[in-house]
Order: sequence, then C-alpha cells, then structure tokens
Amino acid sequence: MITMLLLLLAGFQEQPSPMLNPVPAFREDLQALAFPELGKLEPKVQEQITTLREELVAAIAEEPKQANTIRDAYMKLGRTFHAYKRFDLAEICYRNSDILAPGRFETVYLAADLARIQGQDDRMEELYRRAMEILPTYHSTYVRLGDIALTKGNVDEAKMMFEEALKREPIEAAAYFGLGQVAMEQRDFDTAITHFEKALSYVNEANRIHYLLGMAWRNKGDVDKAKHHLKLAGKRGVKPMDSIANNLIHFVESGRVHIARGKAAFGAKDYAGAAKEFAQAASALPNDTSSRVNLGTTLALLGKKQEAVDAFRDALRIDPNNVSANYNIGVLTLEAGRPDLAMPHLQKVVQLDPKDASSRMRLAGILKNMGRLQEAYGHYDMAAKLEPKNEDALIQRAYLLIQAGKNEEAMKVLAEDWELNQNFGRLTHLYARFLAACPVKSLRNGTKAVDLAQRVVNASPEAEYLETLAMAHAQTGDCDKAVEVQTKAVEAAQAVNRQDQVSRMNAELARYRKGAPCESE
Amino acid sequence: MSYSRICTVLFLVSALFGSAAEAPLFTEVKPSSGFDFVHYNGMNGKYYLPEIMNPGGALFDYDGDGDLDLYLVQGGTLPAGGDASKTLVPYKGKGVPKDRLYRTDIDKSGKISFTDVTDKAGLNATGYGMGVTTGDVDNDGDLDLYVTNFGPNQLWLNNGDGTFSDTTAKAGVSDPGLSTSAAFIDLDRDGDLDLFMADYVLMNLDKYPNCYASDSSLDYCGPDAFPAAKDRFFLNNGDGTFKDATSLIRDAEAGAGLGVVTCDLDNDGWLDIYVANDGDPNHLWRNKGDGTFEEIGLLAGVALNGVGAAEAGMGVTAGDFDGDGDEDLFMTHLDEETNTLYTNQGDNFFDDGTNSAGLAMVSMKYTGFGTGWIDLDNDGWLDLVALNGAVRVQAEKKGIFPLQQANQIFMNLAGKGFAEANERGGSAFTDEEVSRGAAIGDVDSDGDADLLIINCNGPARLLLNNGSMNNWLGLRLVTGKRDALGAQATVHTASGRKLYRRARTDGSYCSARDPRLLFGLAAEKKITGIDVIWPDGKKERFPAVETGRYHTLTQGKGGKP
Repeated sequence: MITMLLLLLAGFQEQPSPMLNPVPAFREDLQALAFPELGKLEPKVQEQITTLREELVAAIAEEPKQANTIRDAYMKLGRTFHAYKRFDLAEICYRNSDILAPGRFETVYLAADLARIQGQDDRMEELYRRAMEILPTYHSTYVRLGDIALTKGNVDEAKMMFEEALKREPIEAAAYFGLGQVAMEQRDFDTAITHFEKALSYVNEANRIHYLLGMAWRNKGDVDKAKHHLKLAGKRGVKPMDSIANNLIHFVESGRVHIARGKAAFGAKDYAGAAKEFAQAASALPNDTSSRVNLGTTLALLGKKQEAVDAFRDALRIDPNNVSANYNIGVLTLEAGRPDLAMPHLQKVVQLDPKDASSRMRLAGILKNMGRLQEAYGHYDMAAKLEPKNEDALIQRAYLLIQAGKNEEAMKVLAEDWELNQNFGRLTHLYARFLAACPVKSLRNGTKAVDLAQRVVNASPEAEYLETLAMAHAQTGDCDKAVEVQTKAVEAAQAVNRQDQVSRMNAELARYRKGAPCESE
Repeated sequence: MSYSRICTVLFLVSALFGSAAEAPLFTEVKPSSGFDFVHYNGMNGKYYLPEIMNPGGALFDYDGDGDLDLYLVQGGTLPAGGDASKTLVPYKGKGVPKDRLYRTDIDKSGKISFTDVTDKAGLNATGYGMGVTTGDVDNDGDLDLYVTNFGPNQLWLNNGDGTFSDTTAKAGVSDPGLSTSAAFIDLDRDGDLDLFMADYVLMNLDKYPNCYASDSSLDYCGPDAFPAAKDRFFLNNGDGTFKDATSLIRDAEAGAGLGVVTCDLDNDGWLDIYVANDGDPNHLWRNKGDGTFEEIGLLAGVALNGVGAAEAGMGVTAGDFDGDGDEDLFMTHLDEETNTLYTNQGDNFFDDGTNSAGLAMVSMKYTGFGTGWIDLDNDGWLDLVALNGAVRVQAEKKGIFPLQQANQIFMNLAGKGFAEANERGGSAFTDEEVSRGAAIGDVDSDGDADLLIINCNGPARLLLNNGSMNNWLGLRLVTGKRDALGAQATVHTASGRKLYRRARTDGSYCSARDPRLLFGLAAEKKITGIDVIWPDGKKERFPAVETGRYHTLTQGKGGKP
C-alpha cells in the first residue's frame, strides 16, 4: 500500500531534465549565462543550443582571448534565444556582446528590438536612438522610433521619424502606414487615406490596411466606401522591411515553432508563407505527421495538388492510419479523375473512423459510378444517419432506392426526411417529382406534389423545378396548367442554353397539350 | 504661524508633488477577518487551458442588510471527478472544491468580519467554475446568482431567507460548454432580466492537443487551437423560465468570448451588448429596439484595434472616463499587445484612443483580465484597474505556475489621459500573482469603491479603499423591487459639472460588481439634481439630495426631466 502511494506521488514530480551548465562570466563586467532545461525542448532545439554553447565555451577558452570571436558567439546565442523568445537569456547575450565589442549596430539594434517586444518603454527608445547614431542610414530604426512616438501619443515626432525613414527607403510601406496613423490621430483623413493607399500599393497583401482605410472613410462620412474597405480587411499587417529583425526567424530550427508559425500564417490566409513554415517543420521533424498534413492542406489551397498529394503520402509513410492524410488523398485524387486511387484511401478512412460521413459520401459516389449500388446505398444510408441534416446524403439514399425499384421504401424515406427538413429545396424537389411521377401510380399524390413543387419554384424558378411542377399539375389532371408551366420550363431551359432539357421538356409539353389524361408515364 | 496655516501649506505641497506623498489607496482585509478564500485550479501537468482562465467573483448584498457579501468561484479537477488532493497543487480546503459565499458583517465600531455561509445557504456549486453574475431574475427583491462553468452552468435563485435553490433545469439556462462572463439585463424592456453569456471555445479534454511555447517547450494552448464557441442569449419569460434566444445573435462569426458588458453605446435608449473576444474580432450587438440585434463592431471601430488587428480581448469595462456623456470602453489584452481604450465619438463611432491616453506602452508586458472603471479618489474622474497574469509559461520565472505578473492602477488625469500608479495600491499591485476576476463595490458602504481581486491558484484579496478628502454621493437605482440594471444616472453638481454613471453588475472578467452608483464629487458639497434614464427608456428628474451618503431612487417617484 505504501509503495503504491509513493509511486502515485512520484508520478506527479517533474522528471529531472538534462541541464547545461551555465557559462560563467570570465570578466567582472560580463554576466554569466544560464541555459534552459533541455529536456523540455524539442531535440533539434536541444542540439542547436548545445552546439552554440560549445562554440561560446570554445571561444572563451581560446588564449589569447579574442573579444570579437567571443562576441560573435554571444551574438549567435543571443539571436537564437531572441528567436525562441527567451528574452531574459538573449538580453544577457546582447549585453555581453556590447561590452566585448562596443558600438556594434546590430547588437544595439537587436537589444532595442528585445526591449520593444517586452514593452520596456524608455530602454527601447534609448537603444534605438543609440542605434540610429551608430548607423544613421538604416531606415527601419526610424520606423521603430516613429512607432514608439505614436504609441506615446507624440505625433509630431512620429511624423518626423517616418519621413526620415522614407528619405532612406522610399518604398517602405511601414513608414507610409505610420504616416497614415499620424494623420488619423490628427484627424486629417484625406492625408491618412493617401498614405494608406500608398502603403497598400507597395504591399498589396497587407490587407489589414483596408481596415484603416475603412476607418478613415467612415470618419469622412462615406459609409459605403468604409464598408467596401472593411470587407477587404484581413489579418495581414504591414511588416517593416527590417532585415535584421526579420532574419531572426532563420535561427529557429524548431519544427514545433514552424508549425505554430505556419498555423498563424494559414489563419491569416497567407498560404504561401504557411507552406514554407510547414515545409521547414517537416524537415525539422522527420517523424511528424501533422506538419506534413498541414503542408499538404496548404499546398492544395495553393492549387499545387500533386505536391499536396505527395505531402500527404509522406505523412502516411510515418503513420499509415492518419485519417486526414487518407481523406485528403482521397479527395484530391477523386478531383483529379482518379477514383481508383481515391477508393482505397476513402475505404481506409471509413475503416478508421466509421462516423466520417464525408468519406462515406465520396466513397458511395465512386461505388455508385461503378454500379455497386448496394454498397453505395449502405454508405449513403449511414451518412444520412450520421448527419441527418446532410441533404446530399438524404437525396442520394432516396435516389438509389428509386433506382433499385424500391418505390414504396423510397416514398416512405422521402416522406420522413422531408417532414424533418422542409426547408431543403433539392430534397423537396425530389419528393415532389417522385410524388408526381412515381413508377407505381398508386403511390403518386398530385395535389401534394403541386404544393411541394410550387414551393421550390417560388424559391427558385429553375427549368427543372418548373418541369416538376408541370408534372404535378398533369398528375392532378390539370393539363392546361401543366402546359402553361411546362412552357415556362422550356423557356427557362432555353435561357440557360440547356438543349438536352429543352428536347425532353418539349416532348412532355406535347403530351400535356393533347389533354387529359396527361400524367407522366 | 497658526497650526491651521501649516496644515494648508502641507496639503499644497502634497498636491503639487503628487504620488510620493500620497497615502496608500487600500487596506487589505486579513484572513483573520474570516475571508480566507483560496482558489484551486486542479492543474495536473497537462496544461489544460481552463486551469489558467478562472476564477471570477461577485460583490452582492445577498441578505439585503446593506453591506456587500462575497461570492467566490472555485475550480476543481480536470476532468471532473478526480482526486483534488493529488493534483500538482493539492486542494487544501474541506470536502470537495466548491464556490464559497461569505457573509459580510460590520459592527457598530466599523469592524468588518466575514463568515463562510456556503453550506448554510444551500449552495453546492461544485462545477469547474469560471465566473458569476448577479441580478434579481424573479423580481422578488433579492439577488440571484448565475454561475458559469467549464461544464453545465447553474442558476441559483435566492429564496429570500438566506438560502438559494438551484433552478437551472426549470429555467432552461444551462450551457454545457465553456462559458465565461455573463450579464443580466432587461434587453427587451419587458420588466425582467434577460441573460447573455459569452462562450469561449469548443474543447474536449479527451482529445486535447499539445501546444508549444516559442522555445518549443510544452505550454498552454491559445484559443486558436480550438473552434470558437457561439455566445448564448436567453430571454426571461417572467415565470421562472427562459427562452433560448441565441438565434437573435447568430449573424456574426463566432468569437472566443471572455468579457461582456452591457451599455447604451449609441445613446438611443436601448441597451446594447459588447463582447470581448480572445483573438477574434469583438462583437457589438446593437439593440435595434424591435426585438432584434445587429452586429456592428467592425464599422463602429470596436471590433479591432486602431491598426486593424484582432486582439486577445479578456476583460472589458464601460464608463464615461472623459465626462462627455457617453460611455467609453476599456479592454485588457495579452502581453505584446496593448490594452485598448475605445473612445466614444457618438453615432456608434469609436476611436482607438489608447496611445493618446497614455495606456499603450504601459500594458505591453502584461496579460490583463479583470478590469473596471473605478473612481479611487472620489474626484469625479474614473480611474482604472487592470488585473494581470500571463497565459503562457514565463520561462524566466520559477515555480510550478509561472504566470505571475503585477496588477496595475491608472489614475485619470481629468479626462486627458492616465498615469500609472501601482505603488499606491500596495502589495496587491506591486507583488506578482496570477490575477483574473475583479469585482468593484463599496463593501463597507463608506462612500468609496473597494476592490475584490480574485487570483487563479492562490488567495483572493479584498482591498478596502482608505478613502480620500473628497466628497461623494451614493445612489441605488430601483425599478419595482430590484436594482434597475442598465439605468443611467446623471448627477448635476452645484458647479455645473455633470457625472454620468450606469447601474450594472456586468463588465470586468467573469465577475459581478455592486450595482449601486458612486459619484465622486471632489470638493463639492452640493448637487442640484439627478436625471435618470431607466432601462425602459423613461426619463425622470430627481431633486437635489444630501451628499456624503447613499440614497435610493425608485422608478416612478421622480419628476419630469
């Protein structure tokens, strides 16, 4: 009993993680550098940090000590920690680097970026200003200082900084975006619109700018233009052309982080960016299926369907039972006109997840086309039971019953399904048509068929629906009405250039014109 | 030099040199007073999201004795039914974890004490609690409770004898999902309180995903790991039951809802609903006055921040911070984002006024939850509190639950902006904890606003306002037998100043505040009258009343405006 209790308690204790010893400060003015618990990190990241630590240790061990070499080792680690958002550790690296080789622009600039992300108000401004003095030509420093001034409500300073940035980089959208915000603060909406449009002209994909344009037009009182832009607004913002900060991502070797970044890009509908991240994730995580499934999905959305199939197949190499990969290969190969390739994958999905109605529907479609109607019916029937509001499943199930000559059963199923789903147009239409023209005449009900067909025609006066209404009238014996409606059906079919329908409908029309009995055969 | 002259000089020096010479704003109630609530989140190392999202609490006078009692929402194990003594931080209370009700008593000397009356009151709220709201849903003159859970919610009807009954099933207001903030408000003007609640995401602990921090270590998921849930809306039938009216708020994308505040943002007399969504555009449901609502957040400028980004909306509060007669919105957000102040420009238009108000940079390193407009020094200008605590592991911090952050106070600079003044709040604002719910109210009815801070996986803190030299006026707005939630009062001071306040229990995060209104009058001693717009749109004028005390204004007892 005691042993069991101890075991239970032990289960709640954190497992000791392998630790890297801190790198001590070899001079009084430097700080010792600790390292994260490796056991919590992805193996690739463990390896990366361990290697960088070794480089630092080796650089420090060199005699005579080379300040620049040690500084470079700290900078590599600093950028890496920065990219992994271990700001506390990155800060020590940058500080030590700055002491070892003072006045290096990149060190100061990245330290400023760290302070910015952490909301260290005064420190970031001080560091950016220092960076500006060291390298006055780097335009992004001015953009950052402009942003800081904006956040502090100092619009004149912000304006000056954004203009300085543009003097150095005339196509910097972030500077125009900043100037637009300045103008918004000053309630000069015309100027704001000009700047936002300019920003948009440089980075068309930055659809978030449309929100600002929407607000500017709203403030000008033009609600229609505001709504137009708000409809176009999305999640992609304006990113400064800041090669130093933007390059930090290259220090990320974690597949998990690339997956997270890929998902964020996907959420912002940046599919190209997402695909790039997922590909990097797949490369970093050789046994991970999710990165490959995500990559496949993204490639499919980019229209690269064969590459998508390859990514899904790669996922199946790792996990043959992955439902998403099987399903997606099924869908893509089916779309490519290869039901033979799709079928085994869809069958696998149904086997793995019998409640997957979508796979059953697709599989049933393939089986139906192969003439394996009984099997197709089984999947449609199951799909309809799994998703009682799936109109396609309800229609196909009834249709196969009709095709199999099971008219009574079909009529019963249609009646029950329609009772529960009276707002389903296509289902109502099929039911109306079957009531009007069921091969078993005793099952027909012209009056009810007229009622139902009239509903679908009222909702959408398409040729086929009108044809069914005419059939229903014919079934009630009202041949004149059938002629009138069928004439409209023919006109509607002609209007959309459906000659196949026109010939069939004209034949029916001729029978209606002959007068009673004009019901369908 | 006379003694009085010296005092005057000292006062001027103090006023000129600001906070350094200013007294602490609060005195914290000690556990020896009987208020000893400690939140239990049931964390078990699996990084389940609900364990970092709760709890809230309520300040409400459940026994009608004139002081505010405390309701604290408790967590539990995840999944339910686990052994609470064997989680990473074991539950140390008696029995199973459940919500607690503390009765407040103030003796003649002013000494305040608290008694845990949960069992006596028949409250057995053992769900995994998220939040609570209060209101008199059956119009019988006492306050009822609606508790939101990760799992079925509960409506506790106050029996009027110090006990409560669970009437959830009869009322038809349960919600099996992950509900967060809720609001009682009469949206259809039929005389009873309807119920709106924010739902967060659709989550199944059996199929819980792994999420990772930026350094690839395991971390808590954000809302983007789950599908957002639809908020819920119930209309009160007036007979103890509610009608599910969620279909009235369907024409918008679901958002991961966390904060809810009701207010008349367009001053058309109809109460609207504002929902803070986490990572999704916020929703502003404009009450069209015909029983329907339209979502207008995007065009109104309150769905996204000033640069068009959806932020991680957690808490939200509405109030007239700049004294221009309309309500502005303040929202708390994730770190690396700012908190956001939406200033009301009228006609359903808002501007993001965060930068110019000085509220942007100061919030960048914090993740905010509970918040509220609160006139801490009774100068008539609404100050702000923002309660913070991370939602992602702060790797540089030690401990088993490294989400601690400091809370913040922002003093209103006469409607022109805000200045951070955390040190004035004492240790509850300088020490780091994982704070979530904030409930504001005058617990001891002494004319200043007190603050209940509800921490996740830690003790709750009740901070009693030490008061100021400034004068005040307290109002309770009543319609029928109950608080007129949604009513707005305008106090006209003798100097011509107008102070607008709305009676509500909603806002903040997962918490319920005192519906009574406090008007800080600064040095003014007299008012000239009070205008009230009642929730049914009717307007009344009440004559001047004595300041420095509470008054009850009842609908129908005032004159023509």
